[in-house]
Amino acid sequence: MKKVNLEVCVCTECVMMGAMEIIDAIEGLKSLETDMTDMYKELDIEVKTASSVCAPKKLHASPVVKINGERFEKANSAMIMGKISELAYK
Amino acid sequence: MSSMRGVYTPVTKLRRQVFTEVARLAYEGGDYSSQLERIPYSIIPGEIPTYRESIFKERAIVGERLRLAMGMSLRRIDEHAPLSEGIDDTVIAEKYYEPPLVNVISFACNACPETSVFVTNNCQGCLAHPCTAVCPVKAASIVNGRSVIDSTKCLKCGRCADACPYSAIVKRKRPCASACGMDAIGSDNLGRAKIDYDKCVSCGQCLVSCPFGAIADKSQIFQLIQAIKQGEVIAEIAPAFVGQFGPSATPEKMKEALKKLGFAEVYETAIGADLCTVEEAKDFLEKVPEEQPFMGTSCCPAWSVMAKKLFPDYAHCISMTMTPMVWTARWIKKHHPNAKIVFIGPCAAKKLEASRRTVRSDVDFVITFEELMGMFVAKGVEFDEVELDDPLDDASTVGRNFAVAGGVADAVVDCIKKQYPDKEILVESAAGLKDCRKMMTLAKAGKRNGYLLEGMACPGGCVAGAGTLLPITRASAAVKTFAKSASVDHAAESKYVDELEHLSDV
Repeated sequence: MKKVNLEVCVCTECVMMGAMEIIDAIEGLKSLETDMTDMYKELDIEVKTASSVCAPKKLHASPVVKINGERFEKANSAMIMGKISELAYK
Repeated sequence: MSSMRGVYTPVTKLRRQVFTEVARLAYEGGDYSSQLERIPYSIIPGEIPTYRESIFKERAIVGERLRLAMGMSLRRIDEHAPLSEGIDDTVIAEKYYEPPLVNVISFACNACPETSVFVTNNCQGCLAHPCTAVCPVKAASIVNGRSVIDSTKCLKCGRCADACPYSAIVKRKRPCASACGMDAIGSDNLGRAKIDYDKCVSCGQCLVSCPFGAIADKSQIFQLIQAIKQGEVIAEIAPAFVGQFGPSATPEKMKEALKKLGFAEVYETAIGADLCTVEEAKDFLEKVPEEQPFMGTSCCPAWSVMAKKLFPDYAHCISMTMTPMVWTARWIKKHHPNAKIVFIGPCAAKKLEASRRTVRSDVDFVITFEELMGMFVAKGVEFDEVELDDPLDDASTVGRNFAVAGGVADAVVDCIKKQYPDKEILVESAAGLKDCRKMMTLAKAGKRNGYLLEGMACPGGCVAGAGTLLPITRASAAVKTFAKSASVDHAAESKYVDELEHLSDV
């Protein structure tokens, strides 16, 4: 199993700019039961939320997500799912 | 309902950035004109366009959205005018409103064709080709081994699309017109969406369904913040608010968070939902069927305006009871006569309801949850830092459930059953204006006599309003959980019911 630690910022600005939709996309991936997701099943994705993930705050950086400690600004579900996909195929 | 609802898209992002920047502008003050001119460059930075062919066009669209968010009208595209033209008139501590509420930014519109049916490359030219058999006007035929539709004959019924075994035929609808339950969207001379304001009831479903972000309604946040800076403003918040502002924004923290924005006090609009329930139950028992064949609920303004516009002979069958927003405002005004009142809800149509002249609303401003979120961000309110002070505890379970489709009728029936446990009440609920129209058509035909009819313009009820942030199913679940936590279950048990008589005639 490959461990993926996702930290999604849920401060007011990050929520407004789509943080919850990123969490929904990850939860949606977990709920898919098709063969296509076999290699994803090798991923142990842990999602944590906190209002301080984006600290120190920067203008127009929201939403902020960290994947295994690497910071991604202006994140969206396509970007984050792309990164998870890279980890799955590695 | 558009499948786009509840999905965070670049259009959602743009809309929220505009609200945030306008709220920031209002809170920070200063030279509004020059600051407004700069905002498009802050929202759309750099030199490369992101979504459209030109960054200048992207900024121009943001500019028009900013004007609408300030309450101003769109500029004419064929006349020179600075973005901030007319801004001085808007710097007031009261509502600023130039009709219409819902606007098409015509140069942002994709000019999507009105409904069309066409064959895609998926067509296999199959032996069965049921598309030709089911077409009632023989517009579909097989030419050179593929299905072809003659658009001059096609009625756009979509039967060929339904019958195709390869899903090769597509019925494409214009998203804005498809979302409009009033058939109020036509085209201008350039094929762009044009709203017929004689038909529009301002439900706002078109503006959340346009994939090009070309439709927007006017906001009052700029003037609301001016009022907050100058005096006492009290908020009433609709029960659909639960869950809208992220996991840290628990209902228990909402009152204190709103006070951080500058509101002097906060009440639940579900106070008024309880009062509305008691009145509608009384009305129903008194009038149906003796004085009127059926009764429609009153709380959704887009539904009630639709019913009165399209079925004028039955206008008297829509309850005359004041809406929860107005009941609550009346109560607040009675106890805080010098305060200005803002209704915070999920709804675009409430913006017009508050301005109606037939019933004094006592509501000074109406803003949506999405606009409120912009205020939270502009003011830097973090729910994690909000201390639990005095949680909202004004309303009953059934009053809070007004926010979810079916909840209003359930509340009224519950209230009647408390008095007459054995009474059978016929109920029908419709959500979405198209379904509401069908329900009224049946009622007009005499097929809903004796019924209580609940109409909700948004598919799903208020939790699906145009000014919400959360996917509808999650919002419904959050409201129901919050409703269960109420300290009383039934509307008639509300501590505010004793004041009912004094509020209707103040």
